[in-house]
Amino acid sequence: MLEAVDISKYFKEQAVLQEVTLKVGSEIKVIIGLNGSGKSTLLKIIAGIIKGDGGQVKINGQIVTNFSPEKRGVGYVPQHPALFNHLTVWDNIIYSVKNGRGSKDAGAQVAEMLGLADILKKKPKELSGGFKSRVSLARALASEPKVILLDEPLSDIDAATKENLLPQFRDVFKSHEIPVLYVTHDVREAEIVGDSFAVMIGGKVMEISSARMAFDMIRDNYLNSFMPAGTAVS
Amino acid sequence: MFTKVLKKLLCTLTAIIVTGSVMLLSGCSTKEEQLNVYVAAGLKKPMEKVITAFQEETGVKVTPNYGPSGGLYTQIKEGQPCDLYFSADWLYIDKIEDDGNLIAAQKFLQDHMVLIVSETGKTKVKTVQDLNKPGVTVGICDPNAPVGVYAETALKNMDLWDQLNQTGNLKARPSTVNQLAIMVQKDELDAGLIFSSVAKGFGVEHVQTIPQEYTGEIIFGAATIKGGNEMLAQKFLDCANENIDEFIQAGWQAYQE
Amino acid sequence: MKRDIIGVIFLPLFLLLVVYPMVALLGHLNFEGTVKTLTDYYFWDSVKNTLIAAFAAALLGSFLALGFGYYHLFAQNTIIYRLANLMNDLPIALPHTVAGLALLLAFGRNTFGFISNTGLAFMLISVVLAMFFVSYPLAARAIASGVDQIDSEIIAVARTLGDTPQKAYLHVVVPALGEALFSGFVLTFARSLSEFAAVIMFGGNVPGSTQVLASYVFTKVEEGELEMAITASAFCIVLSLTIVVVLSIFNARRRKYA
Repeated sequence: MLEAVDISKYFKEQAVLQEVTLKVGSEIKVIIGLNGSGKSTLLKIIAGIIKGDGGQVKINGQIVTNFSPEKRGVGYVPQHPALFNHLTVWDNIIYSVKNGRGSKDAGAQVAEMLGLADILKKKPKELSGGFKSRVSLARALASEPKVILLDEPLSDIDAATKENLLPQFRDVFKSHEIPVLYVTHDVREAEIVGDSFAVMIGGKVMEISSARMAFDMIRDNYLNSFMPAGTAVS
Repeated sequence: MFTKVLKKLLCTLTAIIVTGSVMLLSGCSTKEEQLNVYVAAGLKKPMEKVITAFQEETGVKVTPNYGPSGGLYTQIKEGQPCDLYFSADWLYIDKIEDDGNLIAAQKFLQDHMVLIVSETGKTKVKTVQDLNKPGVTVGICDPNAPVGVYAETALKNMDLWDQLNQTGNLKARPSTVNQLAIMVQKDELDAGLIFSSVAKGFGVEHVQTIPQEYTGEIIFGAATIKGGNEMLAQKFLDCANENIDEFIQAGWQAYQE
Repeated sequence: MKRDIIGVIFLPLFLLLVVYPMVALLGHLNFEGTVKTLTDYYFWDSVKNTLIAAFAAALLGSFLALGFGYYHLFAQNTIIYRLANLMNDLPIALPHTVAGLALLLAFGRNTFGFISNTGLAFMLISVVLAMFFVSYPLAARAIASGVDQIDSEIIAVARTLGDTPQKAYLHVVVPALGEALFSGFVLTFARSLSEFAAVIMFGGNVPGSTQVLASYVFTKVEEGELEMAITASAFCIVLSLTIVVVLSIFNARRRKYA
C-alpha cells in the first residue's frame, strides 16, 4: 500500500504540487495529466529523489518521508530509460542484487516475461527504444520493490510498439501484486494499462472513475484558461 | 543575425589592431628619452638607487631589465635593444665582445664567494671540506647563474667537486642565487656557496670565504652595447660609479686593478 | 558564404599564432646541435625524469579529481566542496616560483624532517608533487565538467536500486566519465611536462637525478647553447604530440569496445 498525504512542492513561489493526497493498493493507478503538471515531481518525491515541501509518504504503513531513496524500497522507471551504458542488459537488470535488494531469480523471471531472454548479453546502445523501456522496467522489478513508480515510460516509443508493449506491461504488473503508480499524458495508454485513475491539473490530484473523464476535465480546464470567468462551456 | 555578430567582431578586432599599432608607434617616438639598462638580478637593490638618482639628475627615463646574466646575454645576442649591460660575470662581457656587439667595457665591482650555512648547517659545516661529510645537504646554483659556474670551478680546483656529486650531498641546483639564499636562510639546506654580496643582502651567516685562487676573479662588469645610445649609457655608468658606495654597502667591493 | 568568413579569419590567425612559432623552432634545428644533445647523458636523464614524474603527477591529479567530482555531484553545499572549489583556482594564480617555495616550506625538512634530511624536498617525488600542484586544477575542472554532463536520472535510478551516494558515484558515474578522465589526464600530463619554476624550487634540479627537460632547455638557453636548447625543445614537442596521439588511440579503442 502506497500512501501520499498532503504532498506539496513549491518552486519559486509557484505551487507545483498542492497538498496531493492519494492511496494506491495492490492495483495499477494511472495519473493522467498534461506535461508540466507536476506528475514527475510527485513521483520523485515519493521515490525520495527530491524532497517535498510538506506532507508524508507512507509505504506499507511505514512513514518513509525522511528516508533516503536507497532505503525506501521503491522501484522507479523514469521517462527516458536511463540504462547504465557500461553494463550489459543482464547486469543492468540485476544491478540491485549487489545492494541486497531483489534476486537474480526475480531478474530472470521478469526478463523472461518481458521477452528479454535473447538480448541479455547486449549493451544498451545496441537496443531500440522499445527494448530499452522493457529493460528499464525489468531492472526496477528485479529489485523486488514494495512499490513501483513509472514516469511516462513509453513516451519515446512509437504508437505501434506501444500497442504491443502495454498489455505486456500490464501482465507483468499484475503478476507482481504491488502498488503501481503510473503517470502519463496519453489517455489511451491509461485505459489499457490502468485499474484506477486520477487526473492531475494545476498541481492538484483528483480520483476519477474512468480515463475518459480525465480527457474532458483537462480539456475544460485548458479552455477555461482562455475564456473569462462565467462563460459556459458545453 | 549571424552576419551582424560577425560584423561586430570584425569591427572590434580592427579597433584593437589599430589601437595597438598606435600605442606601439607612439612608444617608438619617445625613443631618445629613454635608456635600456640590462642588470644582473643580484645588483637590483643598489641599482634601483642609482636609477632614481640618474632619473632625477637628467630626466631621462631608465627602463631596467633584471635577470640572470646569461639570460640577459642571450637577449642581447638576439638583438634586443640594450644600451648598457651590467653582468655578474665578466665571461658574458667577453662573449659580447666575441659577438662583435661591444663598444666599451669597465670592470665595475668585485665580489667573493662565501660558504653559507643554515641554523642546522652551522653545527655540521665549518669549512668547504665539510660539505662532503655524510648527512650534509648542499646547494649550488645551476650553471646558468654565474655564481653556479664559479662555485663549480672553485670546488673542482679544490678537488671536492667529484666527491660532492658521488656522496649525493648535492640536493639542489636552483636557477638563481636568490633562490639558493632563500633555501639556506629557511634551513631547507645545510650549506651553499654564494656571493658575499648576496649573503649580506639576505642576512645569512658565512663561515668561510673562498680564496680567489680557487674561484678566479669574480668581476661584475659593465658594457656599452653597439647600436645603443653610447653617450647616454656612458652617462649612466658615470652615475653608477659616482654612487659606488651604494654597492659597497650592499656587500661588494669596488674593482681595483 | 558564412562559413568562408570564419575560415578566412580563423585559419590564418591559428596558423600564424599557434603553428608558425613551433615550425620556426623546428626550422632552426641543425645537425651538430642535434647530435650534441642526443649524445648528452643529462638530456636523456632529464627526459626520463620528466616522463616518469609527469605521468605520476597526472595519475595523482586524475585520482584526486575523481574525488573532487564526488563532492561536486553530491555535496555542493558543504564546506569541503566550497573550499576545494576555491582552491582549484589558486595554484594557477600563484607565480610558479612562489608555488615551489610554498611546497618547500610546507614539505621541506623543517616539517617533514623525519623522512629524510631534506624532508620531502629535492627528490623525484618532489618533482611529482610540484607538477601535481600546478596541474591538478586542470584535472578537477575536466572531471567536474564531465560530471555535469551525466544524466541525473541515471543516478536517481541507481539510488532507488539501493546505492548510497558513494556507491552510485563509483558504480555508475565513474564508468561514464571516460572522456572527462582522458582529457583531464592529458591536460594534467601536458601541463606537468612543461612546468619548471616550481619543480626547480622544490625538486632540486640536480642534473642526473632531479632535473627535468624544461629546466634542461632553460639551462642550455642561459648557457648560450641555443642549438642544444632547440633540439631539446623540438624533442619535447614531438614527444608531447606522440603521447597525445597514443593516448587518443587508446581512448578511441576504449570508446569502441565500451
